[in-house]
Amino acid sequence: MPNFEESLRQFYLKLPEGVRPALKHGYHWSKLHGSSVVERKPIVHSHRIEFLDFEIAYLEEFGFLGPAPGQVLVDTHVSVVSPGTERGILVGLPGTARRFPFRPGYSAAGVVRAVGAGVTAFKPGDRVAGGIPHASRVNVESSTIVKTPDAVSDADAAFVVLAMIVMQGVRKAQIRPGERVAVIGQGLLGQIALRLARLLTPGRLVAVAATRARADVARASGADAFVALGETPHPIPGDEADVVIEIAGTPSSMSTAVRWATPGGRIVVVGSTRAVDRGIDWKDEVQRKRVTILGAHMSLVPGADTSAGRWTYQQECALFLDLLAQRRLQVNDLVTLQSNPRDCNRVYDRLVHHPSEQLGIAFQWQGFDAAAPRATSAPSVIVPKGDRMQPLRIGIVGAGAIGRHNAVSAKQSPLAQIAGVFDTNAKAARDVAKQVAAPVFDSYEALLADPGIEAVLLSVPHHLHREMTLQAAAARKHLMLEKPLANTLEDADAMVAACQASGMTTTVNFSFRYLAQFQAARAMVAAGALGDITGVQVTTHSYREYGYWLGARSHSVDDWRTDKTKAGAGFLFMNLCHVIDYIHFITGLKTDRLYAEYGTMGSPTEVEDTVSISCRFRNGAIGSFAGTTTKRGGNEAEDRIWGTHGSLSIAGDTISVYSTREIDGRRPGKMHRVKCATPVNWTKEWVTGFAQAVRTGSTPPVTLREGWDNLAFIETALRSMVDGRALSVPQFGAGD
Amino acid sequence: MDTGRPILADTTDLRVLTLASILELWERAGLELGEAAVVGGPHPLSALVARAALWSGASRVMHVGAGALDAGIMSIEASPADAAVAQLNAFIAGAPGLAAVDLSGSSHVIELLVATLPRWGRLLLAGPSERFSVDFYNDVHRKGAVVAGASLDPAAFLDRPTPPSALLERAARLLARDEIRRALTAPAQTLV
Repeated sequence: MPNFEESLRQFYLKLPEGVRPALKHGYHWSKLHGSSVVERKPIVHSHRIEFLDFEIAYLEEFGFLGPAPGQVLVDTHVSVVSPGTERGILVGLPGTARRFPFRPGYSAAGVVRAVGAGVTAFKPGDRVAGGIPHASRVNVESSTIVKTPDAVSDADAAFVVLAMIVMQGVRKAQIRPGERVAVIGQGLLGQIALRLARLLTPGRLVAVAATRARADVARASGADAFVALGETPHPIPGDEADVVIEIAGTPSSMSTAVRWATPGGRIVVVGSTRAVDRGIDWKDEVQRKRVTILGAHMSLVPGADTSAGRWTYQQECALFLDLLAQRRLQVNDLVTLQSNPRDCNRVYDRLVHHPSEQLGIAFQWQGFDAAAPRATSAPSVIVPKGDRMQPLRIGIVGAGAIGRHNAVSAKQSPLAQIAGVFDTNAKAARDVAKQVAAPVFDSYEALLADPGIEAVLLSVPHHLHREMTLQAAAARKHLMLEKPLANTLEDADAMVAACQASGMTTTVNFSFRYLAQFQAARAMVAAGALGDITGVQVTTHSYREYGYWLGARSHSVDDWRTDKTKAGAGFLFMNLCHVIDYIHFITGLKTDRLYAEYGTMGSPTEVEDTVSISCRFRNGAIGSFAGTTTKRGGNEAEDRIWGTHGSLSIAGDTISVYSTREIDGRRPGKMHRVKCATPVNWTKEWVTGFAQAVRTGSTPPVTLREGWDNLAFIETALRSMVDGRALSVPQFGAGD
Repeated sequence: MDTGRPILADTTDLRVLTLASILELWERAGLELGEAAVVGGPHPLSALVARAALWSGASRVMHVGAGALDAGIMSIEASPADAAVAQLNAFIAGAPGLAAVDLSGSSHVIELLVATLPRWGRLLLAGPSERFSVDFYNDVHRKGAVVAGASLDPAAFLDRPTPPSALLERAARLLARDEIRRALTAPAQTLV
């Protein structure tokens, strides 16, 4: 019959995953506070580093009761990271613990705060070092610590268990003076191995590593020679070692070790190779050479003195501290990064992805201020207001549905004044002019000729963009152009050239960027929440009724949307171009090449209403954009972006974001739902940003160049299906 | 560049033989990294034997006999016995293991060493040992101690039926190191 704890665990596992963390927290909280009352012990508050999941480290607050019998409560001053072990757990190497949360750290120094019953070897105030985890304050078994000599600093003493791991391996090697010794692996433990081996006066001490990166530090550790396996994979005959210390902890390091062993030599396995190996030629490299391979994991070190030559955990630790006190050993130069525990998320992130960057990492717990703010992401995007500037006088050109929306939104901008309206449909123009309290112009030319008009906002059928832009440029009007930039890149090039020649400020209406969810997503990406982006998947499904294509929404007499010559493209130009824009805006990526399939599946038009695009971005990320305007049953859209450190998906005004990094104070390793419900008039913000750029002479938030890139993406998509192959997306100014 | 490979001709060098003989003593005594070492003297090679204990990984070395050896090695007088025992016990107390080599053959020195052997201690008698008294039950059996006979005679090294060539090679390799060569050629009383 299962016991109570097991029953509780089974019940817990049947609960929905979403409610488990809160329930678990509540259970532990109740248990701790209940025990505090029953045992009449105060709760000790502390912080410790936890691995929440693969690649995620986080500083957790926790509480516990004072020391139990045989335990010592230690205030940690310095803890040293065990790079191989801790990284192995974070990335899930074979043979490592795969249950989370995991509490790392086993080598630290500090001072005794209290002792439990039966502890006589220590008293409050004693400086100690030993098997202490990465925690500001913690109970440890008294058998796992030793006193730190006065002559040894906490920073040095904190290496004690790391050094002990190496020392017990070096001891098993039984190095005799004059023997040739090779140390395979030049990480932190490799350096300690060199230094310990040096104490035994080898005739020759060789440091072996994959590359030359650690050659200097190895020589400082006492190596007579350095071998980079990339250059010298096999030892020069006669240069083999009597003793080989394997401490690289990689699957190939054992093969290297047996190559380096001389006939009759000993190999001590100190590194945790964490893989099954079939690379060793046992017959020739081990049997014929009479090589002995010795396992030397620290778990073999006894807790108590049992026989000659069986050094105990405490004896090995005490010896290391004694060697430090005698100055026969030095380790403080091995620390290349001293970190505040609050930054552990970023520190371990670097360890995971750049394992050779640091040699030794130490967390400084003494004086650690848990209440201080953690490192935050980049500042959020600030939408300029500029309300002390003179409003930009804008002429509205085009009074259909989009033109009306643009005019009404622009009027809300503190930096815009609607100075006139024109449309070939006079009634539509009058209606909009009335709505925005502006005069109606009889012709585009008349509007352009009016010196009171500083800028024009063109919301006209696509095929008119080129000619009307050239006219605006010639009239030296600032230009705000509804998307797409043009129907073809040829038209776009002519427009860009004319606008550049005019010297006026220009923009294209990719104003969806101003929606709060896209601004927030961009800030998350910029802050590193996703790491390097590796994938994008966009789906956007909607339904457009027949009237949409026929101009019913605009009360227009022109059904230009059904005409491929006029519209240029359908769903791509009318809808998906916005998504293409904001995905590039959020990610900061550029598209390298793509392939598309598209078709007209159910709409009264010559242009496409259904599209699927596969693409590769210039950073190597893979993306897909798929959508239609023929899907019945409600609009659906979701943008998914993921990278080396997290993922986010945007659906409506909500972002679901998961990151292994601690961004903006959000706990890593957890799915956060960020509601971006702040109402934003995206067109008004676009107009404001543009007007501010005009007034300050700066680059507008959305440039014509970005409009060109957007068009290049779409034109390439259209061509790729016709050509039946993937095509490279032209680059601006490359003359494609 | 120093390849660490011995020059075979060097194995006939008296210094090589001397060094090999001394290294062999500590290997027979099972001296380990971090253990304490005691050298019983006096003997012309006491200082070198003590220095070789450090080369073999001893955490500290004490010499029992008349006169100081050098600045790096503690020395005590064998008399009076009570004071010597106290000093030896204090020296051994902080170390997890002990290997001792007596070169003197003096019963007085050997009795001191046997009496102070700690748990798992090893004593190598390498001098012309006189008869001495020993409490086998308490000082050997209960402590798991080892007492073994040896000799320090470099000249006889090559007369063995099977000379330990590996040991000679290691000694020759060590002689290629400046600090070792200096220690071997310096006057015995100034070895540092």
